[in-house]
Amino acid sequence: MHSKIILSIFMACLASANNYIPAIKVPGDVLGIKATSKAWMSANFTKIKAYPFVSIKTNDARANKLNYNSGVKDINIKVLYDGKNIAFLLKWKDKTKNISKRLETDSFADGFGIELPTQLEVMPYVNFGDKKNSVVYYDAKIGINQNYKKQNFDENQDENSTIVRQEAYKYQKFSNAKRLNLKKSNTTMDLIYKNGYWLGSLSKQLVDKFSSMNSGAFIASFSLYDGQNLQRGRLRNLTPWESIKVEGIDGGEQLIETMNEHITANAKNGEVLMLKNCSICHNYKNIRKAPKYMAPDLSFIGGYGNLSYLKESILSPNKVQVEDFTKTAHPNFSWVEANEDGKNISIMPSFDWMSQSEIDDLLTFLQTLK
Amino acid sequence: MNMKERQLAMVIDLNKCIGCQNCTVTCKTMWTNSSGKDYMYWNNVETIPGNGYPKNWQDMGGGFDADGSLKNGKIPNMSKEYGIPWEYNHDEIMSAKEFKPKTEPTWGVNWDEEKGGGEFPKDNYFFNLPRICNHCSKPSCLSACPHDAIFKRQKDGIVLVDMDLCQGCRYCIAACPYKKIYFNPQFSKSEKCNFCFPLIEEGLPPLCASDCSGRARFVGYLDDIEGQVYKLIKKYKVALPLRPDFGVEPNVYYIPPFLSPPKFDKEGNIIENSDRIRTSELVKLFGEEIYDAIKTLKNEKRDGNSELLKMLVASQDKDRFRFKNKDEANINAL
Repeated sequence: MHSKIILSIFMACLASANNYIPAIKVPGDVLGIKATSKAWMSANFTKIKAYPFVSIKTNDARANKLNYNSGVKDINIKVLYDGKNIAFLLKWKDKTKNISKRLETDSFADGFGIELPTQLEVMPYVNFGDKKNSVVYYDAKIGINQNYKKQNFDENQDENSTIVRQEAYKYQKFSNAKRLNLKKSNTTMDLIYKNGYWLGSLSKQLVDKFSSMNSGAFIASFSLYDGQNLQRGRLRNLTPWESIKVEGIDGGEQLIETMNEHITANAKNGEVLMLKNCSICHNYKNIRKAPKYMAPDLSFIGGYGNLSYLKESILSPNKVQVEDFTKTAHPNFSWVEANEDGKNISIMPSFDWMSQSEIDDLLTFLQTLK
Repeated sequence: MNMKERQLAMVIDLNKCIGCQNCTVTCKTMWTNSSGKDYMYWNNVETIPGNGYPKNWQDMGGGFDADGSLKNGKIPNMSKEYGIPWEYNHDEIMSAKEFKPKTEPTWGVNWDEEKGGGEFPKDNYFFNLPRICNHCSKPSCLSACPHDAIFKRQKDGIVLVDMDLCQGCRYCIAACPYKKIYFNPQFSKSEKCNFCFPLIEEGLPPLCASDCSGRARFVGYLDDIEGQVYKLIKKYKVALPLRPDFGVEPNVYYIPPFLSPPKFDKEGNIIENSDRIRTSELVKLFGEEIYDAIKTLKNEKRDGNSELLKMLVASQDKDRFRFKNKDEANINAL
């Protein structure tokens, strides 16, 4: 008995691998560089993983299924900076090239997204921020090259002539976005399909109106859209918050350490605890006991959820409230309710009554869900 | 959840609709005459019985279930269900080549126009069903939008898309059971009937209503108890919403066709008191309320002084459109 306790304490220690994506300092100007620029030769790829975002169910059943089964995807990533500007390059494998077509209503384009917090010190909810912690979301897809202002369709226009359709939004909660003017912020995106791979790039000022990355390290999250799997909007492959170390600027070690936190306790016991405490509301993997819209599906939560977020969700579920998703779409499954004082609270109760070792076990199991 | 203070509504008298497509043309010319909107018909008039536009839209899901949860839906396919808007070889016509479409037409708006059902001449029949966005009180397109890009105006209940926020993910199209919200592949945005809101703000009716040659459309606020729209829907209960079972509380109402010609027997003689359009067939479209509505209409028709019948005749514009309170009504200026 005694040795068992010692063993579990020993196993519950935090392991920190200190993985990060290095932002390599290069001479010259990286603002506006294309995905195929030679400047990228100065850096090596870092491999990260993007998991299917399945927390919500949309009203497109086929897309939900294809998204769920889209698999874990590798993204090879490079980051360059020149002292004033920063540039990201994403490379990922995709057997099928899907772009927007002029006469198609039900096909979807491939693309990518980059999510950055607007404040350096905090870690927002990885899927589009919350009231206190907003995020900026950039996304790019291939669209049809057509003059927007033109009244009638130009028949002589080459149907295969395309443009990179780039958009940016500031999110403060799950569905409330504000469109940002990319041109005003000197942000450019590029996207090109080559030899079975997509190459996507984004370059922006290190500090601009929307976000500041002028620090030793910052965090970013990356999304992939696969048109073949009908991915769009929320349905996509998503990475957790990844830390990026800016070479030549001191500091940020603490942030990198937090982002890389990993817990190793008793996953078997965690699984039992999960089944007992969570599966009434949450579905995950082949455990499907909860009503469909009751609570987020946790099948890949260990993939795109960082440990600190998982911990916060269990102990203080009120900190991030997702009220909009079910408000009118699934009114019987409201995720947020007013308490006696009229204050909005999450319908998920806090599990702070669990012992430390039980929480560690549960977190260990949650990390395996990916 | 109350999303609006007032609600505009439209009543379309199917007995007066002659299928002239004036509404379709005026809407097309006004709103969907530019890039990426070639295939869009914010207003269309389809033939019942028929497959409609997009093809078989009634079987594509969307709307809400009995619990008020969003139902799964399908996004119509351009070539199979809308039909690719074909172009003709105008440039080749001077060289005396055959005048023909450049792409093989497969389906389109009015593909099965006036085909109808039944057997000629015994009991063949059809009627026209003009359709626009229903500006629903419980819009499922709005509920499905993950970016809050669709909103319902407080002052008149018109449902609009904020083009700045729409990201083209098309859950709204799967969610709309009437398939009256369309995707513009050129801009990657959803677009829909806006009830001609710039005209509404000037106190004028939507173009489909003012250009209706059969004077079949009535427009007004649902809370204006002196208005024709209120009387037809609430007082006489003869105007019924289309497919109320979709659960979205639509605000376009229809006076059901109750004036259908009688059937013929084998010898070609008229069968007295028979109706080519069977009320039982209208139940699918308008719900069980259809029985009472048709009963009321038939009874009122026998009464030479019926307020209801006079209202339906509506010889002047002011008899059809009412946007303000009674003493402020100024619709003669059309």
